[in-house]
Amino acid sequence: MTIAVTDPAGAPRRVARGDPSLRARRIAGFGLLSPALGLMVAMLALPIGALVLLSFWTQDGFAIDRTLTLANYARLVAWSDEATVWFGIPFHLAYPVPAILMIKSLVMSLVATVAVIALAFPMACFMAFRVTRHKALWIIVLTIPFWTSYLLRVFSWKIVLGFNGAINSGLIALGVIDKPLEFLLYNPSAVVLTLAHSWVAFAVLPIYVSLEKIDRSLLEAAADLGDSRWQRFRRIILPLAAPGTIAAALLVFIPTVGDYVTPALVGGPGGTMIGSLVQQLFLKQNDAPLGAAVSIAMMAIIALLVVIFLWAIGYGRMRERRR
Amino acid sequence: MLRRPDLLTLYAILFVLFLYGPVLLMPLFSLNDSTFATFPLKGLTFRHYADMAQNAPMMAALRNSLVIASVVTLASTALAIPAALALTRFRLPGAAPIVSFMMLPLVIPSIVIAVALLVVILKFLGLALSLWTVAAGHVLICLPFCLTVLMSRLEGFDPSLEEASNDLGCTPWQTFRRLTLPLAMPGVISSLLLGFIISFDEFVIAFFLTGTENTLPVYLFSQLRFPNKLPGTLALGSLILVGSAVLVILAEVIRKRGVQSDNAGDI
Amino acid sequence: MTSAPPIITLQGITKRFGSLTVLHDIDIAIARGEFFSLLGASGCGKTTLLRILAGIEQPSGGSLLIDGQPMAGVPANRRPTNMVFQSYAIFPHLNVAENIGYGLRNQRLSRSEASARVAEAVALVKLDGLADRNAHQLSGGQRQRVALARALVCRPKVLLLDEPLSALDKKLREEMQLELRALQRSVGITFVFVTHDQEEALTLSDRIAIMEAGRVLQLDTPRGLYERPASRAVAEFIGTMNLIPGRVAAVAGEAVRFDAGRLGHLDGRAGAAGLVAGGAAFLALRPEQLRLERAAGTAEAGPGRSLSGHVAEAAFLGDRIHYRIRVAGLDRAIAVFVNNAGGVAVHPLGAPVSLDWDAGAGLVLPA
Repeated sequence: MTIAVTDPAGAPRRVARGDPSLRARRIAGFGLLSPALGLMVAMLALPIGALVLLSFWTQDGFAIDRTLTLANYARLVAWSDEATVWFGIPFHLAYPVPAILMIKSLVMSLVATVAVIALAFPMACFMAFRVTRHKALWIIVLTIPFWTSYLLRVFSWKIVLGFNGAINSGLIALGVIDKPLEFLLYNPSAVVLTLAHSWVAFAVLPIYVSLEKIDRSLLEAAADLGDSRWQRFRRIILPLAAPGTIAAALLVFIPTVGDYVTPALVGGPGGTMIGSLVQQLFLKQNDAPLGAAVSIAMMAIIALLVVIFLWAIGYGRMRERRR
Repeated sequence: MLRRPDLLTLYAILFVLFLYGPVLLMPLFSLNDSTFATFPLKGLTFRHYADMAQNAPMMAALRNSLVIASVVTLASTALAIPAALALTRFRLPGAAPIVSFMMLPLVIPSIVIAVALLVVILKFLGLALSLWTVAAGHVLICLPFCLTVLMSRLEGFDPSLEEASNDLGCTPWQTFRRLTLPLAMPGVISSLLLGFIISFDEFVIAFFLTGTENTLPVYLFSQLRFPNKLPGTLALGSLILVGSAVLVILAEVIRKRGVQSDNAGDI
Repeated sequence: MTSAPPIITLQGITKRFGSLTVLHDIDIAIARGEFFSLLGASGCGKTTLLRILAGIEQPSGGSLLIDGQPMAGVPANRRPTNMVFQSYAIFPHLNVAENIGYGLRNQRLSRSEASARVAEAVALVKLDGLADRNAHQLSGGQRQRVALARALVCRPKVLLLDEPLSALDKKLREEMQLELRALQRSVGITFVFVTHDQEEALTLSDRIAIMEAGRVLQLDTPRGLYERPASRAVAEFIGTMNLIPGRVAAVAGEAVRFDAGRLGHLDGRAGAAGLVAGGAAFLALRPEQLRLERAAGTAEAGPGRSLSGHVAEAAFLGDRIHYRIRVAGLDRAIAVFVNNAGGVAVHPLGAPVSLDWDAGAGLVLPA
């Protein structure tokens, strides 16, 4: 999502500092930019800063103790001799809920993201290589679900999977089962399925764009050099589509870790995620400082994982090569 | 459109079914003469839709959402137009990191944005929550979308058009009014429509930042827990789906048409 | 042309983009009513110079006068110049008439006067009947005419044209060249024309400035550039030129004795000032000024104006025959163009031949 800044005369962009006409243009440019940029700073950068500050304060009954302290973060990692066992993993934490929910959210998000990419990639291939006419129509078909209410898309799975839902009532009506299946809804799998469904259309488009950009003559050249269809896919399409696919994966993974709506609607008690905890701490348990600490820790962990991931796969080099 | 049915085509069809299937159950059951969303279908009825008009809280929430979405989309588009111009036309130093910063709301989980704004509003500014605080939060999350749509539109046309206008005697303001704005119009309209949809459908930020009054998604969320309210919820949901779909199609068609008509005949 | 004050005076115009200097100290005076071309390969700075005239780019140094008025600080919209852009920059949301009338809206004309001017311009560029067409319904040639009319209708003192014919196919381009020349004569406006096509520049221009790497190499009439190129670069840029390397043996006024090494001494005239005996130089010979004979025949021009070799290549082009003659002691074969005046025999490959030329045809240029 960056823009290319090029000079119409094809000249390098660095311009002599003394050029007065250019200075005037820059001032005008920043003038035009300033309302939007100012709003972003005032309503995004400052609030996130405030959230960080709050995470160093503590809740004291109904008041807030404004002494700077790491107490909230300490609580998230405080040691306990007694272990809370979750999926066979012992957590030696005095307050294990945030850590467990964080790991659970990361795992659920990761599974959903992998599912999204696995589902979206063939669809993007179809759009790029099979659809010759009416491409715009297909794009609209894939765009509509993304823009229509997230809440309703999640809710529709409740109708599908519910105790009295479409699958259960359908199967009963067909005589396949005689009492509703209870394992369909209110569990982590339902959350993962719903997340995958909600985000899959969103992932198709960036992958499709990176496939579409591949020069068709590269594929013809590969075929001419003796590559089979599968070899062309593996040796040309996959490497060239990798940056777009990774970008799509991150655009799905990052927001879903902190999702609140999906676990709230289809997760049930077993399907809660870290976002649910943040909501609880802020709105139910009235411990905003701890909630702030959980939010900041969540963002920091996501950011760290993303950076490590991008570094590990050499994303920077991959993009350079793609140019 | 398709050369021959093959595995990939079959997959695409299944994919679209998966994408639309669950969502389309909502309008289906909303027309079913039953209080449960279950098979087999009992019969066709429009009474769930007729009942909606009597539902005063729902109507109030609808009105709130329409007002907020209109205000939000006008504000974000009005902010995004000059910003998009600055970022595509002025060769500003540091434009790339600025754009990345402006795109942040796309990747920050909305619950974090919501609580961060909540903290500032309640603990730092000491303001009361209201529909206006919801609107402010919505402007923030609409801005990146409006900006993307407008920037891609503005990047699309030949920079010598503006030079030609300037050369033919127009001041920068006249060039904007007579050339840039008319050319960017499809982008402006799709920015307005998308901003409207995003705000109208947004739940998490509204849920955290609203005061005593509800927006439609917040109202809907409160109703989802009550099984006996299901048919009304389905009817409302169906209407929202249809409305959003119409707006999205409109936005896309306008954007695409604009792009096509400018490029045809180009050398 | 020389007595009236120039319409454009460029003095010491320099343009830098960061550390890169794209124009070095350009001095040009363009006369009123002249068809003036800036000719050079892409990247030579010709388009930047044109954009400085238009006011789209600002020079980093130097002064620019248009019709006696200094242009420093005058924005493009207040200059008495109009431009035809390389891409034509036809406004896609307006029809032909609206495109042409675009600039008139800024000139405080009455509605009827403006529409009369538009109609006149439409007729001038032969677009009658297309006034209601949309931009994207036009062919390349028609778009070019709209761009011309849109600029001319504003009655600029100078019309700037940035490679306006480069997007057209060859036949249409040649047609438009003639039309453009006729149009310029009929409206009497000064044209400044940027092109990389030397044939186009020769066809159209009163005078041409040949540019390379941000400098003007030579400024002259087409005939002057062709017959009296002052440097090797210009000689090679305009038309085809054979260059024989060697040294200046002796200079006596215009006449230069040229030492071509193994080929002996040849006669030439000085192509540039400052030739000194012993300096490295080239003898420049135009292919069409060379005569070709079977080697059996004696070279009639005598020693100092002849060479001998054999035919390495011969191409029959209809109106003329192109030969490449391999001369012992020269790395590059000599090009010779022979007019096909009818009944001219084509020398076979490998045939021994002799070349000669008239006194004054050989031009000595500094290396």
